[in-house]
Amino acid sequence: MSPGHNNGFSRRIWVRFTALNTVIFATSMMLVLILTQVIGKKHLTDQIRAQIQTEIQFLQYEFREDGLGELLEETEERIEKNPVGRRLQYVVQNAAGDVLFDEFPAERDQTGWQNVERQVDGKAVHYLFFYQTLSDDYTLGVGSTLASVEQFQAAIGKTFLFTLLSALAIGVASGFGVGVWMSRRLNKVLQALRQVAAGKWQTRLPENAGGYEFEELALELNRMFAHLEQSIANLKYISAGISHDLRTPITRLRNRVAALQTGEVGRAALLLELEKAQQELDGLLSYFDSALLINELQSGDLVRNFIGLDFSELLEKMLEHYNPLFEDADLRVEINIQQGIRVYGMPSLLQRLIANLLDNVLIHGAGGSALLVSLKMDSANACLTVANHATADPSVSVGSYELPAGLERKKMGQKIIHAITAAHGGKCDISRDAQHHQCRILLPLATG
Amino acid sequence: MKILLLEDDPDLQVFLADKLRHQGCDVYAMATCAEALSLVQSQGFDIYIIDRMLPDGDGQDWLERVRLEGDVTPALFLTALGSVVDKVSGLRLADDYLVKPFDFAELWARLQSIARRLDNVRTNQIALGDLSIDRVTHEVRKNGAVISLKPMEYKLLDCFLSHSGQIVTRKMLLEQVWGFHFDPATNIVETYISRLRAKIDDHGSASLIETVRGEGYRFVPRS
Repeated sequence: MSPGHNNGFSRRIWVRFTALNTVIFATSMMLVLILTQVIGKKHLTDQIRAQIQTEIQFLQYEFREDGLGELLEETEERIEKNPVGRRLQYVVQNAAGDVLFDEFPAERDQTGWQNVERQVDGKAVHYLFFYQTLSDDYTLGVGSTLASVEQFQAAIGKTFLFTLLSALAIGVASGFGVGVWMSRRLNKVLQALRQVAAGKWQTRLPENAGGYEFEELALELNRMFAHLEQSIANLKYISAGISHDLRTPITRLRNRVAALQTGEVGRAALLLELEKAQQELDGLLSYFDSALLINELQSGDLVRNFIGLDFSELLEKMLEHYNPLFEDADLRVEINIQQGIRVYGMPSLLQRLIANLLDNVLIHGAGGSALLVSLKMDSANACLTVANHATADPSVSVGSYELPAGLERKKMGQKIIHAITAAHGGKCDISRDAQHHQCRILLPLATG
Repeated sequence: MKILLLEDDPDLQVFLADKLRHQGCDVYAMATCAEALSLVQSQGFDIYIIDRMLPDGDGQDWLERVRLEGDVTPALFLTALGSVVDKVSGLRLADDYLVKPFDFAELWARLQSIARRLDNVRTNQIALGDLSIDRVTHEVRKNGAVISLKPMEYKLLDCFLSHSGQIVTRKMLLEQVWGFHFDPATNIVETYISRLRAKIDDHGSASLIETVRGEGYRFVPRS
């Protein structure tokens, strides 16, 4: 992939983030302003209506108590008391429609709330009026300009425009910033993925790239890369092992067949050669079985067959099976097994694990040496130790933990032990010195 | 024994059919799932021998379909798919699972085991020649005298007596006696057989448990 592709990727990221941020900011601002507009207008209008209704009730009372004259007089007084700040308009008209008070004409026949527009100094002024019919068909109207509401709306409109522009600017800036920040980190991930895809399995992401999510992503991806690298290495190891190790037995097999073709052999010798050839073939099959098992273990396919099982019981049974072999090999066996240790696994695999460890001691352990098998439990793990201790006689050497191999050179048995342990989520540690060889296996305890 | 053999490799199919017929079996050999399906719908069999990778599908899917139709005929998978996962999934449907390559002797012994289970002929008392075992008390007698065997030695002898006269491979012994589905690197089978021979054989005479070179062992009863 060319660098141009990376630039294109970066551009796409920050352009999208910029656009997205701008839209989100602008939409949020619009919603806030529309809500403010609607709620503010309603609140102001309600205040005006309440004031008008209070005034209507008062004047209505005056009219009822003292008649039209008192109503007109009282209205006059109320206007005079507050001529400058006069916000309320009054109108009284008789049944014939003649205006008895103020210059404000009765422009509506209906009673109730009315919106009225009037030209004042060449400008349209809007009023809200309430008309109330009094006795003798007089009509009283009290109104107020809506200037405060209109001023509020105008102020909100200006604010909206300013805020929208600000939101657009902030949206563009923050979108650009976040986009660039994201694209830098995503580019690193992208580059790492491309390198892995190109076969550079050792590629890793910087794990302190900043940002919790990216840190977590980098950790998980690195874990995946490590697993891939390990799997590929194992695959290479096994492939190379197969291709190299098979040559020797296949050559032997070929030579046997060739010898049988060319040589004069009796029936007994023929049968012997055929038996040896069969053994070679069985060895090859065993090797393939081991390679297949390791592959299965590393792929994680077997985990779904795991069950909770009594590891102590399994180990005891295996030692019982092997006891005649220990006797024949003159091995002194010291067993220390804590009862009731349960692990989560596959019985046949754990049998094989134990068998491989015991086989190793039988194959490589010296007669008269001591075999210690112990199984203990700590807070989280079952700890199986198989140790072969040398005898006091220095001439008796202990065996090596080169575990039994399927074929000559490769330590297939040891690889199986590691693979089975890893498949069970455990750890395997093999240590050796001149006198002591020990294999220690930790397997997680079964929970629940 | 009427056997349906579902195997697509022509050479292996002919080889197995001939061998099984030679043992007195009535063999119907098929190469595809479709052929085998129409055959089992028209007639019954005692045992199915099924390959997995067939030209028109997986033998395991075929058996699953047959089982869903209520057919409980015992089955044995004979396949090159030898992974643990394959075996585990195969044994959920079939009675036995044998991985290629295989000895015919082993296949035949496994088929007979299945047939015996089918006939429910497992008896509590077995007397072969001068040797007898009681499966309830785990008592073994030779010429009437009790022989003391350890539990695994008893299981080994029981296995041999169950397959008297037949070749029993090392793999079969490991599976049936020790429950091992792998071949240990050490001579556990040979050690136990040696100990068993020492207890049941007469001094100076041929062993009751013969070694069949390149194949396995065979129990040969003598009076």
